[in-house]
Amino acid sequence: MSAAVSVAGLTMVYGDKRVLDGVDLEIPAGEIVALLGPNGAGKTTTMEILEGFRGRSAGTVEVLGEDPQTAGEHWRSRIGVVLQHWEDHANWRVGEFLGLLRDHYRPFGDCWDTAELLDVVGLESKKDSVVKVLSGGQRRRMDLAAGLMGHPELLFLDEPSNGLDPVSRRAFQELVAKLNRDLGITILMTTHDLHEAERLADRIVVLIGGRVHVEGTVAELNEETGAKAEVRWTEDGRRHVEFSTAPLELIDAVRARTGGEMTDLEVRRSSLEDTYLAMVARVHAGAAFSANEPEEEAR
Amino acid sequence: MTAATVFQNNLRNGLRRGAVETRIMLTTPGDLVMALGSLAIMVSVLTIAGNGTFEGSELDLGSMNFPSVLGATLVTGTVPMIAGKLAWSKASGELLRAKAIPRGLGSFLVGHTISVSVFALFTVVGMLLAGLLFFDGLVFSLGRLGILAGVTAISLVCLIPLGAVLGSLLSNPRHVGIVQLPLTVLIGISGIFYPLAAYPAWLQSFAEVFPVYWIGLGMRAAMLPEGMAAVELGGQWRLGQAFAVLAVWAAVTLLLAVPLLKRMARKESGAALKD
Repeated sequence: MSAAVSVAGLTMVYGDKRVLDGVDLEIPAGEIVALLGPNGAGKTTTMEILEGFRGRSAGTVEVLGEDPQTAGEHWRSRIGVVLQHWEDHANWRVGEFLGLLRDHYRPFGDCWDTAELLDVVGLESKKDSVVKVLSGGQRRRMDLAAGLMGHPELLFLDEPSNGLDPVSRRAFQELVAKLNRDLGITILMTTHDLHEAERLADRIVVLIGGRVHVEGTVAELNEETGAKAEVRWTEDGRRHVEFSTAPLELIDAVRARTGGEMTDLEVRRSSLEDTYLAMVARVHAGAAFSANEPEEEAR
Repeated sequence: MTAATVFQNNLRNGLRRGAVETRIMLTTPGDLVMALGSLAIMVSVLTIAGNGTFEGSELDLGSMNFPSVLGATLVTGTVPMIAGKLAWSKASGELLRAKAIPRGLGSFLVGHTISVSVFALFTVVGMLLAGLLFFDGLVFSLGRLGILAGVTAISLVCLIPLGAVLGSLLSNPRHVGIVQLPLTVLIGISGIFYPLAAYPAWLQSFAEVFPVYWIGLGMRAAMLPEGMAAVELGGQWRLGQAFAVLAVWAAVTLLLAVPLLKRMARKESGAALKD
């Protein structure tokens, strides 16, 4: 599978502050990748370099086969951007706003019919509504529609469901998953909502201090960070709780010891949140934990 | 894609954007009240002032001041408005949106230029109609309307890039007042309230540097009886000089606006928006 995004040694320095310090990242076409990290980790800077919104100090970056810093308007038409904060075009009607965007994308190739796109994002009844009267969830759907207008091969989502109520958030996440599944759009998202990342992303990339500290699927991250599953069971009428990195082996051991007596068994695997918090805590404590870490940091 | 096609696309998308923005401005109660309210106030004040005359002149004060007020309206209706729109576009994410879509910045600039120009023309036409109705001392003819149209056109070409230059330097839409402050000073010394000839020589020279005086002079030349030229500096309208100074200002502000707007767009980012 070809790479939609390919980054090597990406470095960004502002004055004497090194915001990105040798980031390597590869996103195969068709994947959803979540970029996680504490505030100031370099997520937004990374996204903006990939979106072509800002330059870089060093490193090579290829997005859809081109360097965003020098790519032209045709490249721009192949990506979609949904930022966290938009308050623009508040007095426009939804339909006329998307119609204007359509006119921008049309010279570059295939783009959505406005009515069809509104149907896809569930705003078919809002075509004539003024943007400022949309609810938070509807506004995010419209922003998503704007990002999708040019049939992008790659979609950037910056904290896409930030500020949405749980129902709207769930609906928005289902829509994003559907777009990836049905249209094959590669998606790079940042989020502080770890449930959202766990639910949507094929792969997680954790940036801390301007470096990729760990990346992989949720299961790989759990394994790599030594996250423990919680195992609960009843034995001789008493509840037992143990935490283990190898829950199946623990269960086998208990069964062997009790002759198979192990009732009300519950296993809760470590969530991404548990793993992430443990990871950040260990980084702050100065512990090295990842095989992917640069040598000098692992020492 | 050829440069001509790119230009056509930018123009078409800009016109579409401008048409929607203009429709919104002309149907937004707040904008309309501001425009029509200030227009009504100015006409009322001039009508009341119209009872008096200036130093033996037969022309009533209302008619005498009307063209200058029209020039000032053009200044205050364009420079702070385009500056405010640009500043708000940074705060709202509109500028970043324009960056995020193909050829978005071209249509963004064309669209705002059109909407501000149309709104300014709407105000000018409104005032002209009031002038026709209420001020007998004004002189209207086809030739003079041509001069008026020419002065208005070159004023817009000069004022909109000036507003864009100032707007590109504003980091917050709440700072638009900073733009209005020097404009108020320039309007005060532009011969609107009192003929410039009566001011000290150094103040006359200072006022002549800026476009506000020349816009007012052009408006007066277009609408006042010939005899009123005697009140102006040098005792004549100096219309050619007015066009020349305004053309220089237009060229300078356009030259400044292009790199400053590029810089403004380059600096705009999602992180800046979050801040």
